[in-house]
Amino acid sequence: MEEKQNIENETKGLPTPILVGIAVAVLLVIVLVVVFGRSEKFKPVDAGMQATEFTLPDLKGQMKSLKDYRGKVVFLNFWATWCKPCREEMPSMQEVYTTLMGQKFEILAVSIDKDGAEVIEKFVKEYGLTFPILHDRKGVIKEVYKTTGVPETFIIDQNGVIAEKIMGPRDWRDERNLKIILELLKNGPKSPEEYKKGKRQKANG
Amino acid sequence: MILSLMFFDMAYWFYLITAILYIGNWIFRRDWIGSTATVMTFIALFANTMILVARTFESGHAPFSNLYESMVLFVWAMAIGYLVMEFKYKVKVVGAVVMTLAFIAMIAASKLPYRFQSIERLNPALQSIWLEIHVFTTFIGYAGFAIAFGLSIMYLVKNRMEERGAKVSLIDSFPQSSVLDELSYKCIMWGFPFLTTGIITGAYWANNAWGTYWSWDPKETWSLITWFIYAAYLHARVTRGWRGKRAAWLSIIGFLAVIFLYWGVSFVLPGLHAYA
Amino acid sequence: MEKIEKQEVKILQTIGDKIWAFFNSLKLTLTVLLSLAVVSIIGTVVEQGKPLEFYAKTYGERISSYVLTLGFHDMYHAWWFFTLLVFLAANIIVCTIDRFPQKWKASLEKRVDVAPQFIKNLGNSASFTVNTINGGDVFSVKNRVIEILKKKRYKIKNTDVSDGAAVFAWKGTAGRFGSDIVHVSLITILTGAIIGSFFGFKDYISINENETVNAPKSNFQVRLDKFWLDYYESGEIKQYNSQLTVVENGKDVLSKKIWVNEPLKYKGVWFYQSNYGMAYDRIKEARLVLKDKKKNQIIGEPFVVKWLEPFKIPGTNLAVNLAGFVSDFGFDEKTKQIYPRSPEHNNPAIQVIVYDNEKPISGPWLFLNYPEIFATIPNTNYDLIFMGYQGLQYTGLSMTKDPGTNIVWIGSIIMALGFILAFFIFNKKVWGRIQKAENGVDIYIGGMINKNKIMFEREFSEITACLKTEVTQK
Repeated sequence: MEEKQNIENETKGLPTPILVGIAVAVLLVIVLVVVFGRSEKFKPVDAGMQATEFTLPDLKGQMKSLKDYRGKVVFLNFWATWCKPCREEMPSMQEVYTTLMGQKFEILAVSIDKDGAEVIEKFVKEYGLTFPILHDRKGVIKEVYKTTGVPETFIIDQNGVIAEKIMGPRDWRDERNLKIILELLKNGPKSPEEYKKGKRQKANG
Repeated sequence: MILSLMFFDMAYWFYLITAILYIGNWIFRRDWIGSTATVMTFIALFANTMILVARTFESGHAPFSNLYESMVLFVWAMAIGYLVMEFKYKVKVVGAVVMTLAFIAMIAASKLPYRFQSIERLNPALQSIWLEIHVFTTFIGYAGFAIAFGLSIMYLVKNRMEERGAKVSLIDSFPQSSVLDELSYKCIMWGFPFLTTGIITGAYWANNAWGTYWSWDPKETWSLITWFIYAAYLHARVTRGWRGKRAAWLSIIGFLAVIFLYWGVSFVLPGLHAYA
Repeated sequence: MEKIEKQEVKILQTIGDKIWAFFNSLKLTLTVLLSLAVVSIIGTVVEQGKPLEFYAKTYGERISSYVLTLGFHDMYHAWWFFTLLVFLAANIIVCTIDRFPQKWKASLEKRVDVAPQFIKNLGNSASFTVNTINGGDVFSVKNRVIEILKKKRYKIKNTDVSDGAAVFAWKGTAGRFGSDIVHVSLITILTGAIIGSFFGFKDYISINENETVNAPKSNFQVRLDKFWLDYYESGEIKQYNSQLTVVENGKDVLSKKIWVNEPLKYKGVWFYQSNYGMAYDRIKEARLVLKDKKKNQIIGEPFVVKWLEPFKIPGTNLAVNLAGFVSDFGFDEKTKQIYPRSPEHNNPAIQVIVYDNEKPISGPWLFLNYPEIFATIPNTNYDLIFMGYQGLQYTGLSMTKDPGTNIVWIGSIIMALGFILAFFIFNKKVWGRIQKAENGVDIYIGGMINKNKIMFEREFSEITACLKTEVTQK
């Protein structure tokens, strides 16, 4: 449909080769920035990466930060009251917590329930949980940790580096599943590369 | 998975530049801005295509299995539809509206929770070629309706100006309202059969998977609601008193129904169709 | 007498006419379509098919009474929803019957000899004169016109008239009937849907492995030969599969592997892989072992006992029969009944009958989680330890029979054809009149299209431009 109206054929402005040059430069910049500058942000959060700092309220409304627990081995678990495997996993988590009481170990169970704290309170009472429960009601932190479901657990070492990421529920009473936690408690933190290697070995073995 | 997410990031910026260029072309009316805009659309479309290609290799199935992937397909179809329209009718002013809509769609996709962006294995019910045909045809339909939506808004604005005899230079550069009317009709002439095919192939898939081709679940019902509205549009164009403005309103309401059908049903209403 | 009858007939005719006029209206089409849309929206906001108490709870007593009286809780089966559909169908049928004959006649009509004024009045029209010097004679100009139109794939009819020639070109007539075909297809689909809702049924059966069940409302049985799951490398479930055999009159007539999206069809009944589970009241086999109580040592090798198949323990006079199973042991004090507390295998227990020299001596329940309880075999030094078991899978199949489905698919294919005609094939007509003039020839050319006028304007100006250049150049 011909635009018969008032489009003036103004060729005022920069000459074509310069325009093309500018356009190509802009495009290249975007591509390079994305590929080399921002590629980290596309990678899933995994073993070997620094655990992102966060602050969330507990069930009493008190704010708790991840950095408060630096120096301890942190078991960061994302869960929800409506998630059946999470409910099955909780008793074993409580057992581990009781067993390791006194050692430099902490469990932070972050609930992504959209309901209020009362629902979670009820659940916590029913299961007799004594470890800290945090509430990520808006789901912001779960996005930061790029979780794709519940339950998901991150074992974070004394330096704040993620030692292992576990998707799905585990029977935490099983010694095999506790291996990394016990190692960290005994021998202290390892290097990020060792965590990455451990993940690859697990994937291949 | 990283490759497709990187292409998405690139396409996101490319579509932003494209929208800015078309708006610039509309306001400043320089040929070179318009030409650059068209070239930029091609580049954005290429990056968009690469998202889909990369996604296919990363996931092992057609790249329309969830809300994130289908949004990418939606923008892709919109860009192609617009380029065809621009090629045949030379209406770059329309690009200002359509490519802005495309960029808004990219924004919406980028705000989706991470679990939509990550690759997930198809569960047993989703493993069917009819599903893939269903999603594909439906989204081509949505893209047609989206472009028609933009055109209908432009029609109402231009029509108002023409009726009042006013002279607003920015709206002067819009094509005549009769042209806008016919172009939106053409878009719906593409959108409607594709939506219908989408509904029918969806029913065929449901029949193969669960034994019922229609169960009045919210998603199915809303697709029928959308279908009723666009069917009304097609008939309005040949009914006295319903041509022009009222038809344009139906096209606009129809697309609002599409938005609810696409996003609202999954997040607001309960039901079987929670994924796509 | 006759006058009264005539009057009655007249009244009936007037009523009939009024009804016909009511349905013969595009305004009605718009009203019905938009009403269906609004009504359907309500049906998605109000949850459908829930028990009546749900609505009282959700909306309060007063509003829920409106909801229930108006049938909003079962919208799509309400009588007035059905009425709206009937109106739509009647609307389609009446409009089609009313307009089709005219359309058909008009499409057959190919008027070639039309007056120049007719051509001038057409939406797209042009006229110009060609001088004889430039080759302006009726015959050659007429042929040029025909050539150009033929190249654009028009069909041509021409005649010679007293002062020149007339040409009529057309294409895409079928496009006019696209809407009629779509309308017919809609009626077909509605018919299929109605047949299905009256004569079809839907049910659900679950079959344990190696079990045969009667298919409801049919005279054959279905046996599950095997059920298994396929997995992705990452561990998630990829597919549920069942190997089914249809048994009729005692004979295996059809055996097929089905999975989700791949059903089995027999005598118009379809079986779909819906879900699966582990039976809570029986198992395939159990693994047991004998233990010497005094020495606290395992004796011999663990042995496998199959469901309901007595097994003679080697090296002894004992035999074991696996006679009962519950997935989650529960005991009702009042009725003294053993029952499964849940279908989950939380506290699995088996009942075994122990025989000594073929005489039954005990029938205890053994618990997987508490193997010591009741384990002692009387009059022996042995404990019977329950070590493990293999559960029995069952497959969950949904079954349907719907004689209307194929009609719906046929209607859909017809609809697709209708869409192609309605939206992609346009009926274009071009008339040309070549008349002798003083110094040459006058050409009048004009055309019309049934929709998409602007697109045709371009095509038409291409034709006229082409014609102008061709005839003004010799």
